[in-house]
Amino acid sequence: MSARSERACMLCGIIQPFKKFVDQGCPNCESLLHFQDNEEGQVQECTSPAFEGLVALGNDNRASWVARWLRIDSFTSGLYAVKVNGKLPPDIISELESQNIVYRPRDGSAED
Amino acid sequence: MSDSSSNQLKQELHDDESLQRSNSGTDVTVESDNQSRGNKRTIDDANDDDDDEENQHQDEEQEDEDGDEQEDDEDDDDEEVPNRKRKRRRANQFIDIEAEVDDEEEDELDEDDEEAELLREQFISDDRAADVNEEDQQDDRLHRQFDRRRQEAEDQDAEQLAETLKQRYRRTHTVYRGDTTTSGTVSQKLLMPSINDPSIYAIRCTPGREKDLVRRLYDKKRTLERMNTPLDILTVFQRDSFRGYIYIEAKRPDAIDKALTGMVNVYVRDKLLVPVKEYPDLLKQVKSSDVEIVPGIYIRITRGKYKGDLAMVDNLSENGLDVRCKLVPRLDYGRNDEIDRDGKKIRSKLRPLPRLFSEQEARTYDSESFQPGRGPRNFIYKGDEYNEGFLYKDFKIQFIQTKDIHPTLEELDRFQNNDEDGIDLSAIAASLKNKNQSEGKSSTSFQPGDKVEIRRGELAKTIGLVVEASLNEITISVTDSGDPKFDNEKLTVPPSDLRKIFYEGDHVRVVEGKHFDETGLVIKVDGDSVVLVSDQTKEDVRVFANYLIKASDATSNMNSINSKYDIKDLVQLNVSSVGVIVRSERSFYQILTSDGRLIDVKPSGISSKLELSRREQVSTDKNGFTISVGDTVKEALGDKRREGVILHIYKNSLFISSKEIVENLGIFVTNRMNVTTVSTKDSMVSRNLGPDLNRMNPNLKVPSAISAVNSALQTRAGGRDKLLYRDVAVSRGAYKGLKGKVIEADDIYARVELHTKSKKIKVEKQGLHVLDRGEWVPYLKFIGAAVDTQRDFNKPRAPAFTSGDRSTWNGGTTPAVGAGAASTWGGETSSWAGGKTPAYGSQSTWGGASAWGANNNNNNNGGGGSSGGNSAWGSKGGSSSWGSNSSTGGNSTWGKGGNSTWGSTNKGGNSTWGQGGNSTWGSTGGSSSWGSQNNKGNRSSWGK
Repeated sequence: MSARSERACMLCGIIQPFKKFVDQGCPNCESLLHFQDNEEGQVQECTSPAFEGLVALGNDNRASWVARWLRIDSFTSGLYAVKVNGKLPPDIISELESQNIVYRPRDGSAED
Repeated sequence: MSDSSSNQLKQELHDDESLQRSNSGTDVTVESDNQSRGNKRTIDDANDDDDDEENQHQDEEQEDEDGDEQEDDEDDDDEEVPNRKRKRRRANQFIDIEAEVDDEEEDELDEDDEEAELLREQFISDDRAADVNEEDQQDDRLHRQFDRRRQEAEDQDAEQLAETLKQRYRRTHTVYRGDTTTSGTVSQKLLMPSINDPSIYAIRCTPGREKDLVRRLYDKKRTLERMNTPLDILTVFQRDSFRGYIYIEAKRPDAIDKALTGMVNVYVRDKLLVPVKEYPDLLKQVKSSDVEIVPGIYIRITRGKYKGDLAMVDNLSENGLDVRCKLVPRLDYGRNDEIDRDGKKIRSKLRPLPRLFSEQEARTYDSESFQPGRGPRNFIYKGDEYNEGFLYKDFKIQFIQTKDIHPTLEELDRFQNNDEDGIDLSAIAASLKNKNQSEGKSSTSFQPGDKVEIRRGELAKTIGLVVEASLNEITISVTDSGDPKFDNEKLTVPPSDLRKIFYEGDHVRVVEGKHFDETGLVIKVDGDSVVLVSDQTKEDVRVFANYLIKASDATSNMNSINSKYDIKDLVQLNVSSVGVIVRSERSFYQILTSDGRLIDVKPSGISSKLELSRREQVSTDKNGFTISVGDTVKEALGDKRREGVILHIYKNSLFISSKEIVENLGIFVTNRMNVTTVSTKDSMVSRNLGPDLNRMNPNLKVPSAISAVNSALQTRAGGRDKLLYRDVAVSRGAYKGLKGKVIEADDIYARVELHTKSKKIKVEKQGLHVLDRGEWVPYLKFIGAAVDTQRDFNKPRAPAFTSGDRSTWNGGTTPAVGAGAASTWGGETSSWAGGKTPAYGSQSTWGGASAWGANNNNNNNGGGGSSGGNSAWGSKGGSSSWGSNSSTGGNSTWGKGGNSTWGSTNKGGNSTWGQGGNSTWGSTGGSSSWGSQNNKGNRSSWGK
């Protein structure tokens, strides 16, 4: 278990080793964050090594209230973090907005 | 493009004309002609291609551009053209296949696919470029046709392939399925759980293994999903704030049992169904105990060189992952580094003490790594920035600790070096936040009767009195809310919404925070905070109103609570100075040092408490008397001649506690050579060596001979113990017979270094014989407490006595004397000789005689034990007079001794006995004369 190098995606909250983010990207957000195409810096900026609360999500995520509450019900199965410290850089946020994507920070600062 | 080609044609014509005109340089023109024709042809070809592929391609422009580029490259090489054409076709075929796959996917996907294909196409063309053989290419085409046919034949397989490709590409090409503005955002409130949602069970597990368990359950679930026997659990999760539990979301409880079968570190039996309304709390992103990191709060570093150090947040990075902290650097400027054989520096493993950055030291010891920074007091050293002596450094957010900071005063002190403002209360409050919560949120002292104000909410500004206070809610009775109709209404409010109201002039006590337990007078009320003048420090203190309670007394009782040192403790300040704590305040101790100074020291300035045992704290006074803790001494010099009980002895300094002086708790310090002993702890010694009144007390009967000896012992004059350094022999006990030298002596015991073996033993002084002028003298005699006669007693030799004896005396067989008397006498003689009086004790009348025996060893005769007789006999030497028989001295002796004891029984008998007895004894021998004197009735009295 390489817990030390694991990072959580700030957009979807999935937890993966840093290397996997670099090599394979984020399984949910690759079309937006393009980890594979960009330099490692993108992974550094858009994923966080500080996260808390481990959630194991299976394929039957639609039925799960936990998944819905954490807004990961439409994502692929995997391990997710309840709380991810840190926010996406402002330029990425504005880029997401232009694509009509709602970015809800997972560090507890989201209000709704 | 057509424009350019027509231009070229014109150029061509022009060239032809010039050719005709000039008739020279034909070679050149032909060449150029060819070239332009070639150009033209390729352009046509390109156009043809476009026509061919129009139906199949969706992005022609790109293709066109691509084509143009290739044209430019391949202008000279006509042969390349068909190759390119073929290649493109093949590419199309691939795209066809891909297109089938991608039909179901969305446009975005297709584009991406095509990009990928283009890349691949170029890659293949590179391969091809090396191989210009026409025939090979022909073969290749055949192969590909074959391939195509085979693929068409295996259509179903292709679908499978498509599926795998889809799987492979999905990772990177799935559309983001999270929330978009078009799909509409759902407020979290609408996501609140209902009873229709799956249940969440809390399952106990070994603390610390929660994450591991979640991961393993995830793996298990995935594996079983692949095997098409999925577990019926939906999610598994864990929170750091709920240690020892994992949570499983499942529709049926038996699914959990199934999922947990075979798992270790988890206790399936302890399964709790979480109430639905508590679901959101389980997954809250912000825990109530979390401290928001904002500039100014205190944190601790958890990794690296500064692990455990207190730091102050200076700034946060944009994404909140790095925290710029201000801390006190730990630098040694390379002074402790060592250089190994290869010339490499070995960093010292010692952790330098925290000290502010010193420009001078950096310049002196490690000037290479030092460079001035932007400001006058800003420096860069080894890549780190130092400002005003503090280190400013970025730390990763996961390497800092925000909870349970509990900064100590010393740590805060280091930060306050330059700030006159004092300590930022709110920062401390934030760091203390968690502590308060762990101790119970509302224990912040709302008590019935407190006047409070509601701070926020609809009822803000309402003022009331606390009626009832429980852990999490306070009931208040409204006294002023702006609307009289609410007056006296009872409200229940959480304590966090309440603020206590104090007025100027209130006397309060601080019940929490840094100023805990100080008391003071409120001088200003400023919103949530109150300024008070502390009774203890006489300084202004700003505290939260809720940290105060009203108090009537002004004493501080913190001393007993969290202090390592106590008042009157002997403490070590540094190598050379020690002192006694005479006052203890919140932040400092007042210490009376051994040289008599009174200093204020912070707790950190005390290195340790000196725990000296009673044995170590022994000294001697001016006169050489042993003094130890607890003894009362008096100053021999000085105006006041202070007197007191020794509290501590440290080397030559005595810390003395006096009841007569007020300052410093009555403790003063003086030199040991400046005091005289007044009394030792255990027994009174003479005051000023005056007569011992106790011993003069006529009513006091000395209970035994030994006490008489002891009292004699204690009347000794001052000065060194006589016994010191004398050669002695031990006369009793386990070491009886051994010889040695006295090396130490106190009142009762002597420490003797044995000659035989190197050992020091402690023996009673009285059990010693002292070598005095070549003769072994018993201790008591040696010190003059016992007289010579005693020695005579001890060494029973009475030749005169025996010579004068008759058989009756010795044998004790004198029936004439009377049964009792005869035996008694006999017994007595034997006691004279051997010091044993077996029958003696039976005779009460012979009390006087018992004293004889007592001189030897007979304490058991105490029944008769009148000391008067004893001393008289002893002192006058009754035996000798007996021996002489004729001496009248004996007479008087008997008379005296006899009187006192016998007098009680029979006076008449005594006198006669005294007179007659003597004379007859002396002249003719005891037995006969006694017998003759029977008529005087002496015998009868004896018998009694």
